[in-house]
Amino acid sequence: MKSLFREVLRRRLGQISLFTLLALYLTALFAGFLATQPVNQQNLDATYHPPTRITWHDGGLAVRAYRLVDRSGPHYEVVPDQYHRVRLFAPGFDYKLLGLVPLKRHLLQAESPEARLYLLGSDSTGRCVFSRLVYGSRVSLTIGLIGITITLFLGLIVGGLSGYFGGKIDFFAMRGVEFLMAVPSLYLLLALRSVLAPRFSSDQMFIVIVIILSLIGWAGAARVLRGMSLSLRRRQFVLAAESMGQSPLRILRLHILPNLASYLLVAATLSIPGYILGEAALSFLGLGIAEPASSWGLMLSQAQNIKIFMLNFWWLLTPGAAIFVTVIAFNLLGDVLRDVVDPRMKTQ
Amino acid sequence: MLAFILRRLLTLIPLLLGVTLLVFLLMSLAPGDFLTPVKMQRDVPTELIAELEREFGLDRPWYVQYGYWLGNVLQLNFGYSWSFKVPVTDLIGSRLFATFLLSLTSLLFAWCIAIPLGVLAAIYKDSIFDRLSSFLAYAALSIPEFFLALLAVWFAAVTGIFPIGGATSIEHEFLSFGGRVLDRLHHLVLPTIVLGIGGIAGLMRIMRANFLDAIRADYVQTARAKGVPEGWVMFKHVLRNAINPLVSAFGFSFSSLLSGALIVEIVMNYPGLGNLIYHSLLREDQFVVLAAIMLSCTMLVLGNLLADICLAWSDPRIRLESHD
Amino acid sequence: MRTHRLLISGLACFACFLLFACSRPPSPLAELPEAPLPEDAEIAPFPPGQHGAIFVTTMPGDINTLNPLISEDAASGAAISRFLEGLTTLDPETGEIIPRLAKSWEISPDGLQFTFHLRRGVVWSDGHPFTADDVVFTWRDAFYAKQTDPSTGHPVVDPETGRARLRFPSRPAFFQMIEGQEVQVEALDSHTVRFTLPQVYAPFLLFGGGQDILPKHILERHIADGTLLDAWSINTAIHRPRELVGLGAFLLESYRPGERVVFRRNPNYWRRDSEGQRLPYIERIVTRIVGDANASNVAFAQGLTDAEGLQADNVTWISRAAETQDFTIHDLGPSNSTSFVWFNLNAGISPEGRPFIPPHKLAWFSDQRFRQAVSYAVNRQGIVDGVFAGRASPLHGYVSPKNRNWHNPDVRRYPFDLARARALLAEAGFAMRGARLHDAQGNPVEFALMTNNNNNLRTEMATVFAESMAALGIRVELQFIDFNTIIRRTSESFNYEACLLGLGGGAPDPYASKDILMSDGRLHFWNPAQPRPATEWEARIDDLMRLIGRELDPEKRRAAFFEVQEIMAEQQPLIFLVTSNEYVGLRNRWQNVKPTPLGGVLWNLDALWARPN
Repeated sequence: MKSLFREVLRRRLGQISLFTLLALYLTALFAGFLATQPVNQQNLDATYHPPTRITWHDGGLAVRAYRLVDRSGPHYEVVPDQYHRVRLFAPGFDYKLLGLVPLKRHLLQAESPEARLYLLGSDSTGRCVFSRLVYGSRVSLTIGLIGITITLFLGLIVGGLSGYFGGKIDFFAMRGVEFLMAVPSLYLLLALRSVLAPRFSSDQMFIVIVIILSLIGWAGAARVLRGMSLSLRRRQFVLAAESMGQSPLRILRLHILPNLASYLLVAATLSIPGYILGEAALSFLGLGIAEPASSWGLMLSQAQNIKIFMLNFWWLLTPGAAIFVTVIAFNLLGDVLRDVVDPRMKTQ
Repeated sequence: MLAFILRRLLTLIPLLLGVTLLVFLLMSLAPGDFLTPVKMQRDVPTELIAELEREFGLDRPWYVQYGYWLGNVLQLNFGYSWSFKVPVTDLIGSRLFATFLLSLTSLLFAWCIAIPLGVLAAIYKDSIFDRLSSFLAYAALSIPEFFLALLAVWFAAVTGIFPIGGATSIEHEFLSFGGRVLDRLHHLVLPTIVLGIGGIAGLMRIMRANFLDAIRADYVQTARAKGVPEGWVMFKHVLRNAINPLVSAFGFSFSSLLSGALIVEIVMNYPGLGNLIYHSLLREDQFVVLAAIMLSCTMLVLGNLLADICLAWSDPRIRLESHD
Repeated sequence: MRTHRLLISGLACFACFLLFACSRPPSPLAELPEAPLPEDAEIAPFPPGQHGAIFVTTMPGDINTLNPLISEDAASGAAISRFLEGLTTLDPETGEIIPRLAKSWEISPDGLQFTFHLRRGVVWSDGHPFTADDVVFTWRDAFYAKQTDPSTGHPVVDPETGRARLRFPSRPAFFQMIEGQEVQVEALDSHTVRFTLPQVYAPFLLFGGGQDILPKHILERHIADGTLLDAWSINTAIHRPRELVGLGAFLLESYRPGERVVFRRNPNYWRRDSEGQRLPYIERIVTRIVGDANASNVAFAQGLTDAEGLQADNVTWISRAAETQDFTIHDLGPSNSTSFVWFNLNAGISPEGRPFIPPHKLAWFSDQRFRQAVSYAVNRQGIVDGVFAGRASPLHGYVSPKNRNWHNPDVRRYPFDLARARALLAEAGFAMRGARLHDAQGNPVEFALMTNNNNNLRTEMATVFAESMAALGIRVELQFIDFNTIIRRTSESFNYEACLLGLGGGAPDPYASKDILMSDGRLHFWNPAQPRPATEWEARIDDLMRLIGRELDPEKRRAAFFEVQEIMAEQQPLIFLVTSNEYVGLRNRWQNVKPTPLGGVLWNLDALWARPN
C-alpha cells in the first residue's frame, strides 16, 4: 500500500489529482470554518447579489459596499469610496468544527453587519453561494465514498461467495444480479425515490439517495468479483489453504480478498464519479436531495431558470465547475492507480 | 446460432415479469396515485373521483391490478394512458422516432469523432496532440450531462444560431423536402453534441489503446517488412483490427438507444420518449410507465445479444455460446 | 472490410430514417365550404382589420386530449377553448354575463326555467347548421347518458348513491348536475332551448350557459358505440384533425406531439366586423409546445413568438428586448393565483386513537388571536420584494383584487406589525421566555409547516414565513415534500400542523368556491368534510354560501359574498400571503389590442389583426 501511494505520487497526474482531492475533502471537513455565512441564512434584500471582491484598502482587507439599484432585476451597484473591513480568523456565527468542537472563528468575516460578504455571490433567496458550495461539498464528496463502500461490500459478499462456492448459490446469485442489471436503472431509481422520499426528512434524503444509488450499482461489481474469485479459487495457494482445513470465510478473508484489493481500489476510484454525477443529476431534476439541505446538484437546479443566463448570474454555475473538478480528479487518480497496479490494463 | 438467440430471448420472459412486478409494487407503495392531483381541484365532485377510481381499477389492491394488466398484455393489449386516453402503444410510437433519431445521430457523432481522434492519438503517441486529446477526453467524461445541456440551452438562447428545443421549426410543414431535412438536422445539432460528447471520451480511449496494440502486432511488422506503404499498412491492417472490438461496443450502445437520452431530452426540451416517460412517471400514469420499462428492458437484452452477435461476426475466433 | 460495410449500412439506415421523418406530408385540410354570414352574426366592437396574418405563440406542456369531457390540464383546456364555445360567457371588460351562441335568454320568475334563443344561421366549422338539437345532445345524450345493464336493459344503479350510473362519467357531466340532480333540457324549436332546473341555482347562467356545446352530427356515432370518452384524442388530432369540428374562431389544423399545435381560422365563424368581414382575421395560430414557462419566455424575448404571459421574475430582462423586438409588456395587475398558510384545525382522532395534532397545539391554532397574530407578523411586502422581485401584490382576503366584481376591498387587513402581533399573543396567554415564545402551560410554541418541494416560489415564501415567525419567538420547522404526500396529509391522514399552498385560476362565480368555504367541503383546507360546522363562524359562512347558490339577485349575492370575505378576514383560517402580478407581452404589430385585467390581452383574439408577414 505504501509503495502504491509513493508510485502514485511519483507521477505528475497522480500528484495533481491527489492534491486536488485532498483540498476538496479538507474543504468539506472544515466547511464551518471556511463558510462566511450560515448555510441557510437568507437575505431577501440581497438576492442574486454579485460576488463581492476583496480588496486591500486602508491597510487591511476590505469589501466594497453595494447598493440595490433595481429590485426587479435585481441589479446592484458598487457604492464609490465605501468599504467594509474584513478580518481573517474573526468570530462569526456558531458552528462545530468536525462536528464536535463548538467554535466561532471563521477564515473570513466582515466586521460590520451591513457589509455583504458574498465571495461567490448570492442565490435567489440571498443565500451565500460560497458557503453553500462549501457545505454542499459534504454531500457531493461523501456520497461517492459511502456509495462505493456499500456497493463493494455487497458486491464482495455476493460475488466473492458465489464465485467461491459455485453451484446453486452461484446460480441463484447470478440470476439475481442479471435481473438487477437488466432493470432500467433510471426508472428504478425514480420509482424507489418516490417510495422512500416521503418517509424521510430533507437531511436524511442524502442517505436515502446513496442507498438507492448503491443498491442499483452493486450488481456489476458483484459479477466482476465473482469472476475474479472464481479464477483465484483454482489457484494453488487457495487449494493449499483448503486442504489445510481452513474455513471458507477465513480463506476468503486471508487469501482471496488481498488479491482482489488492488482491483477494488481501482474500481472504487473509477466508480466514485458515477455516484457524484448520479446524485447531481437527480438533485438537478428535483428528485434527489431537497431544500433546505444543500448539494451541488441541487444548487445547479436553480440555474435552470433562464433568467440566470439572461442576467448573467454566472456565479450560480460554480457548483457545476465544482462537480467537474471533483469528477476529473477522481477519474485521473483512478487511471493513475490502474497504471500503477497493472500497467497492462491501461485505458481498457 | 439460432438456438443461442432463442435461448437469450427466452430469458426475457422471466425478466419482464419480474421487472414489471417490481415496478407495480413500487408504484403502489409511492404516495398517491394518478388521481391524487385531481382531488386538489375545486370543481371535481367526489362521485367523479370514485367513478374514475373504479374505472382505472385504483380501488383494488395492487396485485389484482397487476393480474388484470398482465392478462391484457398477454393479449398484446398494453393498456391506455390515463392522461392521454389513447393506447399506450400509439403514444410511445408517436415519440419513438424522435428519440431514435437523436440517439442515432449522437452515436454517429461520437463514432465519427472518436475513431479518427483515437487513431491520430495513437499514431502520434505522446505528442502534444495526444496529450491534449486525452485531456479533452477526461474533461468530456467528467462534465455532467445535464450541465452541458444547460450550457447548450444557454448558448442557443444567447446566440440564436440554434433553436431552443423542439425537433422541427414552425415552418416545417411548408418547407421543401430538402428544407425539411435541413430543418430537422438543424434542431438535432445541439442535443446530438451534448448526448454524444460523453461517448466520445470512452470510445476514443479504447480506440487509441487498440490501435497501439495493433501497431505492435506481428502481421503489421511483416507487412512493413514486405514493403507495403505505411499509409496502407495503417489503414488496411491496423485500423481494421483495432476497430473490431468496438463493434461490440456498438451493440451495447444499442441497448441504451431509447433510454439514454432522458436527461438531455428533459433539459433541452426535445420531444422524445424520455420526456414522455419522465412526465408519465411523475404523474403515475401507470401503463405508460410499464410499457416504457418493458421496452427499455427488451432493448437492453437485445442490445447485449446484438453485441455478442456483432463480436462473433467480426471476429470468427469467437463462438457463440450461452455463457453462464 | 466488414466493419466498413457495417458503418455504411448504418449510415444508409440513418439517412432512410431521416427521409422518412421529413417526407411525411403536412396533414391535408382541404378547403372547407364557406357558408354565408349568419343573419344573427355578432358584430365585434372593433375597427375593421385585415385578414391573413400568422400568430405564433408557445405553451408550456403538451396537450393531453382535445375532448372537453376528459380534459384536466391547462394546455388541453386552452386548445379546446380555441374551437369550442358556449351559449354565454363572462364579459372580460365588465365581468357581466354576455351572449355568445345564444343571442338572448329569459329566466322564469321562479328562477327555475332558462330559455335561450340561439343565433340563427350559425354553422359548425364543417358547414353543418348549429341548432337546438346540438345543445340538447350535449346535455342529454352526452352528459346524462346512463349505463345500462346489457342483460336487462335497465340502468345500472350505484349502490352507494342510489343514483343511476353515468355512461360517460366526466367532470362536465357531474358539473352540470345540481345537487346530484339532472337539468331538463328540451328544444322548443330549432333555435330555442329551455332548461328546467330541479331547484333554484343562481350560477346556472354562467356555469350552464358557459358549457361548451358539442357537435351532434360528429359525436353521435361515438355515443352509439360508447366511445365518447375516447373520441377526440390526440390520435384524432394527429391523423384526422378534420373531425374536430367546432363553433370557435379557430380549428385545429395539425398537431405534432411534443412539438406544436397549429390552428387555422374557422371560415364559418359567426362574428363579423362593422364592414361585414368575417372574423377572425388571423389566418393561423401556431402554438409551439415548450418544456416550461421559462423556455416559453425566452422564445418571446428572442422575437420568436407574438404573445406571451411573462413570469414576474423574467419581466426585467425581457423588457430590455422590447425595443429591438418591437413588443410591449402589459401590466395586468394582481393575478388570480393566491397563496396562503393554514393551520390544521381538525380536532378528530386518528384510527390509531391519537388526536391528529397534540391538544395543546390545537388550542393555539384554534385561537383566533393566535392566527391573527401570525397574520400580523407575516412580512407580505418582504415576500413581494424578495421572492417576487417586487412584481407581486400583498393579498388580504379570499378574493384577489383582480376579480373586481367579487373582491371586497374593505375586509380587515393585517399590515406587518410585530407589536400588535405580540400584544395579541400576550392577550391569548402566550409569553416570552428568553428568546422563545411559550404558551400559558409553558409549552414552547413551535410547529411544522409543509409545502410542495417542486414549487420554488412556495418554498421561498415558506422560508420567509418561518423567518417572520422567528421574530415572534416561534420556531417553524419547514418540510418540503412532494405534492401527492401533501394532498394525502391534508385530505386523508390529517397528520400535519400547518401548510402553505396556493390556488390558481380564480372562480368567476363565488359558488365555485363552495367546496373550499363550506364546512362540509372536500377542500375546506383547515378542517375538511365536517359532518356539522365546528364553529359558529363556519356555520354562518355555510348559510351565506347556500344563499349565494339560491339567490338570483346579483346585489344580494355580492353582499353575501362580501360578508363571507369579512368573516374569513376576521377569523384568518387561511392566512393569505401574496398574489403575483400578471404580465403579458405582445408584439406591437398587432392591432385592436385592448388588455383588461379580467380577460388579459388575448381575450379578443378573433379581432386582433396585423399586416400579413
